[in-house]
Amino acid sequence: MNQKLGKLAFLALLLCIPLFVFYDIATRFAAEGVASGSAENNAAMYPRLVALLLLFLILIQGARTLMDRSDSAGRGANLSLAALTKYRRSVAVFFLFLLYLSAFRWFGFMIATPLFLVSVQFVLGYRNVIATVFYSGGVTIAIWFAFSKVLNLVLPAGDYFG
Amino acid sequence: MFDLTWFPVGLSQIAFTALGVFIGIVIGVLPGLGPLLGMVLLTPFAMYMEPVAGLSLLLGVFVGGTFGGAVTAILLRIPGTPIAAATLLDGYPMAVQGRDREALGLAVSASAIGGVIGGLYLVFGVPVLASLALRFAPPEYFALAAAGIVCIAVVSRGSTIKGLIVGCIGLLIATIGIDPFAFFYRFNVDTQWLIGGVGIVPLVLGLFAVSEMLAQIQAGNLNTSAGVRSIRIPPSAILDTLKSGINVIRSSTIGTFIGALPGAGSVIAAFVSYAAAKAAAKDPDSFGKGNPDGVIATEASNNACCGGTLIPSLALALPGDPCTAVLLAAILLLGFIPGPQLFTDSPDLISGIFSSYMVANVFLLFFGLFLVPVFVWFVNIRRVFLVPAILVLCVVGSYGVTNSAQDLWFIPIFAVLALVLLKFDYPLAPLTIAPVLGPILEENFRRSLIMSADDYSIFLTRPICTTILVVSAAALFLSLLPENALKRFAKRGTN
Amino acid sequence: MAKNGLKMLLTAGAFALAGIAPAKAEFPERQVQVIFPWSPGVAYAVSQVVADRMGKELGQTMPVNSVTGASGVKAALNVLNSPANGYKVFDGYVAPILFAPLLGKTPFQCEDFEPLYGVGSNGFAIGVRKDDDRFPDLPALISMAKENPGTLKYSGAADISIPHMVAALMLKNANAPARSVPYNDTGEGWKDFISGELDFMVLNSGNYKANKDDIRVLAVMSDRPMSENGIPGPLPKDYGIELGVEGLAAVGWNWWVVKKGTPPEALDKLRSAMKAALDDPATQQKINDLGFTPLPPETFNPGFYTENCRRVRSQLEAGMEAIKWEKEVTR
Repeated sequence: MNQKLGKLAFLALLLCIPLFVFYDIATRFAAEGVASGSAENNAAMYPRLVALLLLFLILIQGARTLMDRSDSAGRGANLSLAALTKYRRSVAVFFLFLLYLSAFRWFGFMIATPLFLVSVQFVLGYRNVIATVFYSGGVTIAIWFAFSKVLNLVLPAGDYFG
Repeated sequence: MFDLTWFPVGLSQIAFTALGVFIGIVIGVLPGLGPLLGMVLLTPFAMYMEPVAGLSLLLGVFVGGTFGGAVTAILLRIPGTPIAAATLLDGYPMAVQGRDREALGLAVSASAIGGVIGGLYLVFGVPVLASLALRFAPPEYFALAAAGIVCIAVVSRGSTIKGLIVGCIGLLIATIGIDPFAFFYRFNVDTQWLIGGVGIVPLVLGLFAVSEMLAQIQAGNLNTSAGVRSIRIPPSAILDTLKSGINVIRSSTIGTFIGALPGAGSVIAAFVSYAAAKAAAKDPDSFGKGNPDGVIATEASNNACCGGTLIPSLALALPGDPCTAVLLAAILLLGFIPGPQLFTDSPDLISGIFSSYMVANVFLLFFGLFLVPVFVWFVNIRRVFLVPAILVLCVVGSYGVTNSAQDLWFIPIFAVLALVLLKFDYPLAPLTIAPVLGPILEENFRRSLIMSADDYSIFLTRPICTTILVVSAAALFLSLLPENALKRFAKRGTN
Repeated sequence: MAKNGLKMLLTAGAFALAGIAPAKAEFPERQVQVIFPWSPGVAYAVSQVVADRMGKELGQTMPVNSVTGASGVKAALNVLNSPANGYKVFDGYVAPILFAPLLGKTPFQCEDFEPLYGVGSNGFAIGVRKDDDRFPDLPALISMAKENPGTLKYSGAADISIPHMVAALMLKNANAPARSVPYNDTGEGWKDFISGELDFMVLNSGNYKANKDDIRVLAVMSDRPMSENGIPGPLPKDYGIELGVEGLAAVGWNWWVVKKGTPPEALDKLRSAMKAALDDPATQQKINDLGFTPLPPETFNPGFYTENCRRVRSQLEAGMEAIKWEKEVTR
């Protein structure tokens, strides 16, 4: 029963997508005069159609979920606090990844990358300091060489430094 | 139209084709980077070379790069390029079952054979296919893209409705950013970040690569390696591929034809061939669980597609996709003018392009078989070393294609979305094909209506368009029927 | 203070890691990149030719990177959201630097950039299929459009674009409305023109060169014969039809620019390197081969940029009116 509730909650979340489409069309699109008219200027024509289809599909899926008694196939959603602690490593790496993305632009590839590699290895529980240092330096330089020197791409130098 | 006395090909031509294929495979293997970037990066070199040699280098990258993504798709569940997103559907399950060697062998040989078949169509079918492609106007493109959406339903293993839900979300994601015709930013919630829409490369990398890395961290065993045996692919893989001869020919034909339609592209070719292979199979349920025919279909198709895109590019100076647009620019830079008269004015160049394309596929087979152990070694690195490096490669690869630090934020968003969708048993593949199809679908839908002054009958009065739409609608209807209803119907038919 | 300290520390760290000595910082210390607003193709190759030659002057390779989306606005913002240090040169086309600001879709104006030099222009012409005997000349096309308003179909690339605007202006001046079918990819429009879905097409010099034998040029969209355009043919005014635009407003062009506030040393370095590149006859020849006309650096120099923005902008406003008229009459 809990699983069924989770599935329905997820569908309710998905329902927000078409509702947002309709809302944006009714407000921003309409204000700009592109919510109706001929095909050329009607920016709402196609997204509205797709959103209607999506709405219809979500409702069918919702009805199916409600009627389904067995509910054995799905792995189900069991999102409790206890379950979250099980995810602590991947959650930590995910947050490091977000930090890396901001550092990538502001402090540049050369600073952000080794710091990211060291901290991810730490979070993953790897404790060989020398190996970590060599690894993170080596990977940074190898990637820098491949992209910057061989492929001639410009990696960010860090907007923070002007 | 031209003579076929192009053998023997020049030595420098062969050497640069080989170099191009090698570079192409390596670039294709790197997450996010595909043949387009490789060709763009090598154009400055090619423009100082002898014309046929320069174009051979670019063609080699085109062919090698189109294949390269399949390697990581199969071994790591990371499509190196969006083109390989369909390959992982069956390639990765095969690898999980310990059939990685077989999967890679099939991918290499199907790519090469598909490429050669595409090349044969190119050499012998240029005039016919070029004129056929011209009969596809906006209504037909709309119908074709709609058929692609139906393929989503067929590809989605298990639940068609779930597949279509994800597909519709993908179509809506594709509408974010500037409207194709009116200068209006849609669904950008008034931020600069979204005015250009969602990039397909960060989307694919987030959806498949980063989510997979997080899942692997989740699963633990970080100090062990993926445990892939050091493998060498036996040349008999070619024979295994040829056993599925009909599949190879069908997929290559689909690939060539879709490639010949300017603007359609190899991602669609791969998914349509996959859907066709699944529909034609005796055991469609085994697709998505490691059916070799799934790998063969997608790889034969996307490499045949390269040959297809060359058809309108050379015959009509109409680039079929961004890669051939770069190739046409290179032809111009080398002092030739692409277009119909190229066949009469510079037959040597045309035959050089044809022969290099064929030779490139031979080298693809050779390098593919030869280089695979190197890639397997890479995959076998312990996860605690592999995972962080791949996360960095995803970021740098995405940045290399989009040159935008802002676009990197799509990666974590789609990684989370992927984990949530998987949790609730929704398929991910529709989310890669829908954003590719979306703009084609919308632009041609609205363009048709502009042509007809908002008269919808334009879709029902043109034979090709109407046929595609009717067939697609029928296929969609069949796939939506509950399975037992179909079985009952079939039983009644046989009784 | 603390921020500065941190900044110095990080800067030192960056240099140490990159292995670069921070002593005598002379521009360019690292690679200068060109931000190109479209997908790679022929126009990209033009930029690559200039960047390649300019890189030789600067003593480095100068990559051209394409940042696509939002009709070029995304690339413009990419440059404007980066520090004004001269390391990002924007390949400024009319759509992002003039059209989009004119429509109120950007937080910047043409003048928010510091100019280097103009690069190339791409002229337009009205063309029909060679065997299409409905249209022996421009007056025949105009009179058919007058008699059947809105039934003739043509493509002038994207809806908001120079080729469409020029054609719409001319048709408005002749009071001969036709239906414009927008294509974001000119190639797709070309395909539908060749196959007969469209009646006529606004060609650019590249289209013309590639398909000389299959098309006929009815009129060159210029106020001067052949001139910068590269397409031979009669002018609208030969038939007494007003074109309505002149000079650079009638052609597509690109002008390399950097963010305002770029230090003068960097600006000078970039300008002299670019001028040297553009003055090289080999560069001009390559731009020509690609179907574009090189803009002479004597005229299209940094001093002329603001004037150019102003002149073209006022004519674009007239062009937008013509597009509006066309829609009202044909829909």
